[in-house]
Amino acid sequence: MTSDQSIKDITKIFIGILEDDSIVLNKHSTINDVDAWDSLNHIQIITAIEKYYKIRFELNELLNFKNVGDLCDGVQKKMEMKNI
Amino acid sequence: MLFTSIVYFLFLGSSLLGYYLLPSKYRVYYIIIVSALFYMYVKPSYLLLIAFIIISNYALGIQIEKSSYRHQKSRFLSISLLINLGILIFFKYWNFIIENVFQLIGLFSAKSTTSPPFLDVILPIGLSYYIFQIISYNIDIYRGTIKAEKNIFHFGTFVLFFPKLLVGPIERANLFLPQLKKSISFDKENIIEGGKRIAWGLFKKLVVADRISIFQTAVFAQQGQSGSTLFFATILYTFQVYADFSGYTDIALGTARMFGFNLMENFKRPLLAINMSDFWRRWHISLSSWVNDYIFNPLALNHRQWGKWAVFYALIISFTVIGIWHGASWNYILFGLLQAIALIYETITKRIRKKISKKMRRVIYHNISILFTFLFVTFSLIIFRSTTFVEAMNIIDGIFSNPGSFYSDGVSTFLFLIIGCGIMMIYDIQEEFKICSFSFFSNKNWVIQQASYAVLIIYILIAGVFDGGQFIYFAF
Repeated sequence: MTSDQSIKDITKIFIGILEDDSIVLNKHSTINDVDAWDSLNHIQIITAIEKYYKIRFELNELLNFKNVGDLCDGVQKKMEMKNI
Repeated sequence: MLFTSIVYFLFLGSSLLGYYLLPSKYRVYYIIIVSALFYMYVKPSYLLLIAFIIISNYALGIQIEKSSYRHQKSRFLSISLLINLGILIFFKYWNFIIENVFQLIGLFSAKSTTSPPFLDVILPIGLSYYIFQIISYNIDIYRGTIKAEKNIFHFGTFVLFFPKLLVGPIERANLFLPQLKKSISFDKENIIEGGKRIAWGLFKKLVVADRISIFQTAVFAQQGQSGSTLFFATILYTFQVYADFSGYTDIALGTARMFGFNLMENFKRPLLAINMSDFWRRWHISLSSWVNDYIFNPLALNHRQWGKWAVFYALIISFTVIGIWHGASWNYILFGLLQAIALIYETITKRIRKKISKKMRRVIYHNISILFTFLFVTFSLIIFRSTTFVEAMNIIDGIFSNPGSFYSDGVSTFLFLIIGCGIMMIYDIQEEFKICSFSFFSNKNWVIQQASYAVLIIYILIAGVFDGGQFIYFAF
């Protein structure tokens, strides 16, 4: 899975949860850049990502995600571990 | 030392002079000494307490970072939490806990002869602010998001820096400590911009908050005020708390700027919030973001399998902490719970509200939202200000059931109140919506900008209350 592909997939999940088709994400997008993304629906987004990729993040990993790039890297790391 | 007193400005002027006359490598030590003197002015013996807090947390921060294993890191973090929360509970919450435990025991046992072991200690000013700041520092090291500070003087400055020592903002180490690594040279822009910020702070505190305070004292000194008077006083209290606390913050940020430091913003036009979630992103930001990062997110993410219930649970705990942070009293806990209920309501009704908003004209929906949010904040502040639940109920009851004539102690009082609140809110509205392209205070024309500040200072001298009114948030 490439980094671009994971951003595309994650963007789709964001659009579904936040009900906003205009969302465009990049590696540097943060909670401040997306209008409807707040700490309340952040939980739903994380749960949806975990469900989509069939992975489970550790709490410490989740707390250290600062932007979408970190989130994608976290997903890729988990996927690689799954494939070993 | 009040930020609005002459003594403070003499202290500020002389300490600034010494600061810029010294070679830059000595300035950190100088700031520590000046900050220690500032704190000693409040109560000298508490300097020992803060010195103990600095030394122990400095050492623990390094130990957390140095530990190779997770369980070792956890152990040192637990020790630091035990020390910091222990001190906070001892000074701030001990009597409240003991009183309630004894009352609970009294409910089950017929007769109790032992009297509760109350403590007779004065809460060190600023304790809740700097303890929260240090807790976040150690958690950040534990999480690996910052490095432990190796220079004890830098760490000491992070805790002691006097502009933020007594009433915040609750600064973050990753924003403050890097500023100490840079060499700060004299920049007249820092002095001018800092001075302007202080002028705004003085206006909010002396002209708005303290003027309203006189009206509040007069109204609540008499029993049986009419509903309209109580309603007006209740509305004004919201402006008073905002002007008082954000005014203090402006003076703190302005002072820090004069020394070449940027502290985090604590307010972002909160009275123009469109809902309570929005309000808490704009009000006392350094506390709400702290609670978000160290309580809400860990709790909600850890229980994310519960779905929305995880959010509700985390909201209740987080806002109970925000409530009790303000003081050891049930009214603050109730205030916090009210905020949690409002946010849970907003989470549940998000879709419905979105649908309604699409059916209305945007400007109408927006303004109605601001009005409802303002009224809810005002209502919750009735609980916040009342020492007992009965007192709060009396105010609410009085507003709705007590017709009568409106209390007035002169036209000039009203005029000063309206002008003060008006200027403060027009400034915020302009900053938020950029309605008018012309601006007095940020005009590109130097003469207009300086003249605006000159008029502001003259107005402070005419309409300000100079009898040394205490800041409301000093109590926390």
